[in-house]
Amino acid sequence: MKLAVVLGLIAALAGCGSSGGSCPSDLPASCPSPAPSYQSTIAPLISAHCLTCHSPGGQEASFPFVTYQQVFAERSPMLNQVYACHMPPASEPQLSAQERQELLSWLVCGAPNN
Amino acid sequence: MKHFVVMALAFATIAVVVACNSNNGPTGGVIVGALDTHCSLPDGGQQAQPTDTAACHPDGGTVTTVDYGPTKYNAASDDDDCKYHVTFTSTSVQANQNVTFTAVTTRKTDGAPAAGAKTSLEVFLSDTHPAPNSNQRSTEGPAGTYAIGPVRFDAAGQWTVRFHLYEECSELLDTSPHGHVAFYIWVP
Repeated sequence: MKLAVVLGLIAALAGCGSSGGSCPSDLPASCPSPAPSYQSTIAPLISAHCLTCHSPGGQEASFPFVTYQQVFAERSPMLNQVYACHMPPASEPQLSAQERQELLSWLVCGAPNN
Repeated sequence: MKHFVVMALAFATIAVVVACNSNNGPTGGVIVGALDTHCSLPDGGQQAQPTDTAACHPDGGTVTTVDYGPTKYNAASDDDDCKYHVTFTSTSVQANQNVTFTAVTTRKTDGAPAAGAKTSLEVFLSDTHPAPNSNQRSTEGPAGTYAIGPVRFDAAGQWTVRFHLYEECSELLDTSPHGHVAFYIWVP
Protein backbone atom coordinates (compact mmCIF):
# COMPACT_ATOMS: atom_id res chain seq x y z
CA MET A 1 0.00 0.00 0.00
CA LYS A 2 2.74 2.49 0.98
CA LEU A 3 4.74 1.57 -2.08
CA ALA A 4 1.71 2.20 -4.27
CA VAL A 5 1.29 5.67 -2.77
CA VAL A 6 4.98 6.50 -3.28
CA LEU A 7 5.00 5.30 -6.87
CA GLY A 8 1.79 7.17 -7.54
CA LEU A 9 3.27 10.42 -6.24
CA ILE A 10 6.45 9.94 -8.27
CA ALA A 11 4.36 9.41 -11.40
CA ALA A 12 2.31 12.49 -10.59
CA LEU A 13 5.33 14.72 -10.06
CA ALA A 14 6.87 13.47 -13.28
CA GLY A 15 3.78 14.41 -15.24
CA CYS A 16 2.92 17.74 -13.65
CA GLY A 17 4.24 20.70 -15.61
CA SER A 18 6.05 18.63 -18.17
CA SER A 19 6.35 20.36 -21.54
CA GLY A 20 6.39 17.03 -23.30
CA GLY A 21 7.37 18.46 -26.67
CA SER A 22 10.52 17.99 -28.70
CA CYS A 23 11.26 21.72 -28.83
CA PRO A 24 13.80 22.45 -26.09
CA SER A 25 13.29 25.07 -23.40
CA ASP A 26 16.79 26.37 -23.90
CA LEU A 27 16.39 30.12 -23.86
CA PRO A 28 19.55 31.70 -22.41
CA ALA A 29 18.73 33.15 -19.00
CA SER A 30 20.75 36.25 -19.75
CA CYS A 31 22.90 37.86 -22.38
CA PRO A 32 26.30 36.14 -22.52
CA SER A 33 29.48 38.15 -22.47
CA PRO A 34 30.62 38.74 -25.08
CA ALA A 35 27.39 38.73 -27.05
CA PRO A 36 27.49 36.80 -30.33
CA SER A 37 28.61 39.04 -33.16
CA TYR A 38 26.03 40.03 -35.73
CA GLN A 39 28.65 40.62 -38.39
CA SER A 40 30.70 37.47 -37.99
CA THR A 41 28.19 34.96 -36.61
CA ILE A 42 24.53 35.96 -36.92
CA ALA A 43 24.47 37.51 -40.39
CA PRO A 44 26.06 34.43 -42.02
CA LEU A 45 23.68 32.19 -40.07
CA ILE A 46 20.65 34.17 -41.24
CA SER A 47 22.00 34.15 -44.78
CA ALA A 48 22.35 30.37 -44.73
CA HIS A 49 19.05 29.50 -43.06
CA CYS A 50 16.58 32.35 -43.63
CA LEU A 51 17.19 34.34 -46.80
CA THR A 52 15.81 31.78 -49.22
CA CYS A 53 12.36 32.81 -48.02
CA HIS A 54 13.00 36.10 -46.18
CA SER A 55 14.31 38.10 -49.13
CA PRO A 56 12.86 39.60 -52.30
CA GLY A 57 11.28 36.84 -54.39
CA GLY A 58 10.93 34.49 -51.42
CA GLN A 59 7.74 33.21 -49.81
CA GLU A 60 8.29 35.45 -46.80
CA ALA A 61 9.47 38.53 -48.69
CA SER A 62 7.07 40.58 -46.61
CA PHE A 63 9.38 39.87 -43.65
CA PRO A 64 12.79 40.55 -45.24
CA PHE A 65 15.99 39.84 -43.31
CA VAL A 66 18.48 41.20 -45.84
CA THR A 67 19.80 44.14 -43.84
CA TYR A 68 20.54 44.55 -40.16
CA GLN A 69 17.77 47.12 -39.89
CA GLN A 70 15.26 44.62 -41.27
CA VAL A 71 16.41 41.91 -38.88
CA PHE A 72 16.34 44.30 -35.91
CA ALA A 73 12.78 45.33 -36.76
CA GLU A 74 11.69 41.69 -36.57
CA ARG A 75 13.83 40.67 -33.58
CA SER A 76 10.88 39.94 -31.31
CA PRO A 77 8.91 37.64 -33.66
CA MET A 78 12.22 36.08 -34.73
CA LEU A 79 12.99 35.17 -31.12
CA ASN A 80 9.46 33.85 -30.54
CA GLN A 81 9.39 31.82 -33.75
CA VAL A 82 12.88 30.35 -33.47
CA TYR A 83 12.59 29.59 -29.76
CA ALA A 84 9.22 27.85 -30.31
CA CYS A 85 10.80 25.80 -33.14
CA HIS A 86 8.36 27.25 -35.67
CA MET A 87 11.29 28.58 -37.67
CA PRO A 88 13.02 27.39 -39.72
CA PRO A 89 10.03 25.38 -41.00
CA ALA A 90 10.22 21.64 -40.49
CA SER A 91 10.62 21.17 -44.24
CA GLU A 92 13.83 23.23 -44.29
CA PRO A 93 17.33 22.51 -42.95
CA GLN A 94 17.35 23.07 -39.20
CA LEU A 95 19.73 25.10 -37.10
CA SER A 96 22.39 23.09 -35.35
CA ALA A 97 22.30 23.19 -31.56
CA GLN A 98 25.22 25.63 -31.60
CA GLU A 99 23.60 27.87 -34.22
CA ARG A 100 20.34 27.87 -32.26
CA GLN A 101 22.13 28.91 -29.08
CA GLU A 102 24.07 31.64 -30.89
CA LEU A 103 20.94 33.09 -32.48
CA LEU A 104 18.85 32.88 -29.29
CA SER A 105 21.68 34.42 -27.27
CA TRP A 106 22.06 37.29 -29.71
CA LEU A 107 18.31 37.95 -29.63
CA VAL A 108 18.25 37.82 -25.82
CA CYS A 109 21.04 40.41 -25.90
CA GLY A 110 18.67 42.73 -27.76
CA ALA A 111 19.99 42.03 -31.27
CA PRO A 112 22.99 44.38 -31.18
CA ASN A 113 24.73 45.54 -34.35
CA ASN A 114 28.12 44.30 -33.20
CA MET B 1 0.07 -7.15 -8.43
CA LYS B 2 -2.86 -5.97 -10.54
CA HIS B 3 -4.47 -4.46 -7.46
CA PHE B 4 -1.21 -2.71 -6.61
CA VAL B 5 -0.91 -1.12 -10.08
CA VAL B 6 -4.51 0.06 -9.95
CA MET B 7 -3.90 1.63 -6.55
CA ALA B 8 -0.74 3.38 -7.78
CA LEU B 9 -2.53 4.77 -10.80
CA ALA B 10 -5.40 5.97 -8.64
CA PHE B 11 -3.04 7.80 -6.29
CA ALA B 12 -1.19 9.27 -9.28
CA THR B 13 -4.42 10.60 -10.76
CA ILE B 14 -5.51 12.15 -7.48
CA ALA B 15 -2.08 13.70 -6.93
CA VAL B 16 -2.01 15.18 -10.45
CA VAL B 17 -5.42 16.75 -9.98
CA VAL B 18 -4.43 18.24 -6.63
CA ALA B 19 -0.89 19.31 -7.56
CA CYS B 20 -1.60 20.70 -11.01
CA ASN B 21 -4.77 22.56 -10.12
CA SER B 22 -3.71 24.20 -6.92
CA ASN B 23 -4.57 27.66 -8.23
CA ASN B 24 -4.36 29.62 -5.03
CA GLY B 25 -3.35 33.25 -5.26
CA PRO B 26 -4.35 36.21 -7.38
CA THR B 27 -5.44 35.75 -10.94
CA GLY B 28 -4.89 38.01 -13.92
CA GLY B 29 -6.42 38.20 -17.35
CA VAL B 30 -7.54 40.66 -19.94
CA ILE B 31 -6.60 44.31 -19.53
CA VAL B 32 -9.61 46.53 -20.04
CA GLY B 33 -9.10 49.61 -22.19
CA ALA B 34 -10.25 51.51 -25.23
CA LEU B 35 -12.40 49.58 -27.68
CA ASP B 36 -10.74 48.64 -30.94
CA THR B 37 -12.04 50.66 -33.90
CA HIS B 38 -9.22 50.33 -36.42
CA CYS B 39 -11.50 48.70 -39.00
CA SER B 40 -14.28 51.26 -38.62
CA LEU B 41 -14.92 53.54 -41.59
CA PRO B 42 -15.85 57.23 -41.33
CA ASP B 43 -19.32 56.50 -42.72
CA GLY B 44 -19.99 54.06 -39.92
CA GLY B 45 -19.28 50.98 -41.99
CA GLN B 46 -16.62 48.38 -41.49
CA GLN B 47 -13.50 47.66 -43.51
CA ALA B 48 -13.38 43.96 -44.39
CA GLN B 49 -10.39 42.57 -46.26
CA PRO B 50 -11.32 39.57 -48.43
CA THR B 51 -8.97 36.61 -48.40
CA ASP B 52 -8.23 33.96 -51.00
CA THR B 53 -6.70 30.57 -50.38
CA ALA B 54 -4.88 30.96 -53.70
CA ALA B 55 -2.88 33.74 -52.00
CA CYS B 56 -1.54 31.31 -49.39
CA HIS B 57 1.52 30.35 -51.44
CA PRO B 58 1.56 32.75 -54.38
CA ASP B 59 3.97 32.67 -57.28
CA GLY B 60 4.33 36.42 -57.33
CA GLY B 61 2.46 39.67 -57.16
CA THR B 62 2.81 42.95 -55.37
CA VAL B 63 4.67 42.29 -52.15
CA THR B 64 3.37 44.01 -49.06
CA THR B 65 5.59 44.70 -46.08
CA VAL B 66 3.94 43.36 -42.98
CA ASP B 67 3.65 45.43 -39.84
CA TYR B 68 1.94 44.06 -36.79
CA GLY B 69 -0.76 46.36 -35.48
CA PRO B 70 -0.83 47.77 -31.97
CA THR B 71 -1.56 45.35 -29.15
CA LYS B 72 -5.23 45.52 -28.15
CA TYR B 73 -7.04 45.82 -24.85
CA ASN B 74 -10.13 43.79 -23.89
CA ALA B 75 -10.97 40.33 -25.22
CA ALA B 76 -12.28 41.10 -28.69
CA SER B 77 -10.90 42.85 -31.74
CA ASP B 78 -10.59 42.72 -35.47
CA ASP B 79 -7.26 41.38 -36.68
CA ASP B 80 -4.53 43.78 -37.82
CA ASP B 81 -5.61 43.70 -41.46
CA CYS B 82 -9.40 43.62 -40.93
CA LYS B 83 -9.75 40.06 -42.24
CA TYR B 84 -11.16 38.43 -39.11
CA HIS B 85 -12.88 39.20 -35.84
CA VAL B 86 -11.43 37.43 -32.80
CA THR B 87 -12.94 37.05 -29.35
CA PHE B 88 -11.39 34.95 -26.63
CA THR B 89 -11.66 33.63 -23.11
CA SER B 90 -9.12 31.83 -21.00
CA THR B 91 -8.80 29.60 -18.02
CA SER B 92 -7.50 31.19 -14.82
CA VAL B 93 -4.39 33.27 -15.53
CA GLN B 94 -1.67 32.74 -12.95
CA ALA B 95 2.10 32.68 -13.18
CA ASN B 96 3.60 29.23 -13.79
CA GLN B 97 0.23 27.57 -14.33
CA ASN B 98 -1.04 26.05 -17.54
CA VAL B 99 -3.51 28.39 -19.23
CA THR B 100 -5.75 27.50 -22.16
CA PHE B 101 -7.18 30.16 -24.44
CA THR B 102 -10.40 29.65 -26.38
CA ALA B 103 -10.73 31.85 -29.46
CA VAL B 104 -13.82 32.33 -31.59
CA THR B 105 -12.83 33.55 -35.04
CA THR B 106 -15.02 34.79 -37.89
CA ARG B 107 -14.38 36.29 -41.29
CA LYS B 108 -15.25 39.96 -41.47
CA THR B 109 -16.47 39.71 -45.05
CA ASP B 110 -19.40 37.43 -44.27
CA GLY B 111 -19.28 36.53 -40.58
CA ALA B 112 -18.60 32.89 -41.32
CA PRO B 113 -16.33 30.91 -38.97
CA ALA B 114 -12.64 31.03 -39.86
CA ALA B 115 -12.52 27.26 -40.19
CA GLY B 116 -9.28 25.34 -40.56
CA ALA B 117 -7.19 28.29 -39.41
CA LYS B 118 -5.05 26.22 -37.00
CA THR B 119 -5.04 29.28 -34.76
CA SER B 120 -1.87 29.47 -32.67
CA LEU B 121 -0.43 31.82 -30.08
CA GLU B 122 2.76 33.85 -29.93
CA VAL B 123 3.25 34.79 -26.28
CA PHE B 124 5.88 37.14 -24.88
CA LEU B 125 6.57 39.51 -22.01
CA SER B 126 9.11 41.64 -23.89
CA ASP B 127 11.29 41.61 -26.99
CA THR B 128 13.72 39.34 -25.18
CA HIS B 129 11.36 37.25 -23.03
CA PRO B 130 9.06 34.76 -24.79
CA ALA B 131 6.89 32.34 -22.86
CA PRO B 132 8.54 29.00 -22.10
CA ASN B 133 8.02 26.28 -24.66
CA SER B 134 5.01 24.29 -23.51
CA ASN B 135 4.10 21.98 -26.36
CA GLN B 136 1.21 24.24 -27.35
CA ARG B 137 -1.64 22.59 -29.25
CA SER B 138 -4.64 24.01 -31.10
CA THR B 139 -7.89 22.09 -31.28
CA GLU B 140 -10.82 23.27 -33.39
CA GLY B 141 -14.43 22.65 -32.49
CA PRO B 142 -16.95 23.83 -33.48
CA ALA B 143 -15.74 25.38 -36.74
CA GLY B 144 -13.80 28.59 -36.13
CA THR B 145 -13.48 28.00 -32.37
CA TYR B 146 -10.05 27.01 -31.13
CA ALA B 147 -8.80 25.81 -27.76
CA ILE B 148 -5.10 26.66 -27.61
CA GLY B 149 -2.69 25.71 -24.89
CA PRO B 150 -1.07 25.12 -22.62
CA VAL B 151 0.50 28.54 -22.22
CA ARG B 152 2.72 29.17 -19.21
CA PHE B 153 3.48 32.73 -18.09
CA ASP B 154 6.72 32.44 -16.15
CA ALA B 155 6.77 35.95 -14.69
CA ALA B 156 4.41 38.63 -13.52
CA GLY B 157 3.71 41.56 -15.79
CA GLN B 158 1.90 42.79 -18.85
CA TRP B 159 2.22 40.06 -21.47
CA THR B 160 1.31 40.08 -25.14
CA VAL B 161 -0.62 37.18 -26.66
CA ARG B 162 -0.77 37.30 -30.43
CA PHE B 163 -3.26 35.05 -32.21
CA HIS B 164 -2.17 33.81 -35.63
CA LEU B 165 -4.71 32.41 -38.10
CA TYR B 166 -3.61 30.41 -41.12
CA GLU B 167 -0.01 31.01 -40.08
CA GLU B 168 1.26 28.51 -42.65
CA CYS B 169 0.30 30.99 -45.36
CA SER B 170 2.83 33.57 -46.45
CA GLU B 171 1.80 37.20 -46.22
CA LEU B 172 3.06 38.28 -49.61
CA LEU B 173 -0.34 39.45 -50.81
CA ASP B 174 -3.05 41.54 -49.19
CA THR B 175 -5.49 38.69 -49.79
CA SER B 176 -3.39 36.15 -47.88
CA PRO B 177 -5.51 34.23 -45.36
CA HIS B 178 -2.80 34.75 -42.72
CA GLY B 179 -4.17 37.03 -40.02
CA HIS B 180 -2.92 38.13 -36.61
CA VAL B 181 -4.03 40.18 -33.66
CA ALA B 182 -2.39 40.71 -30.27
CA PHE B 183 -3.93 41.37 -26.86
CA TYR B 184 -2.51 42.41 -23.50
CA ILE B 185 -2.79 39.90 -20.67
CA TRP B 186 -1.97 40.80 -17.08
CA VAL B 187 -0.20 38.20 -14.99
CA PRO B 188 0.00 38.96 -11.25
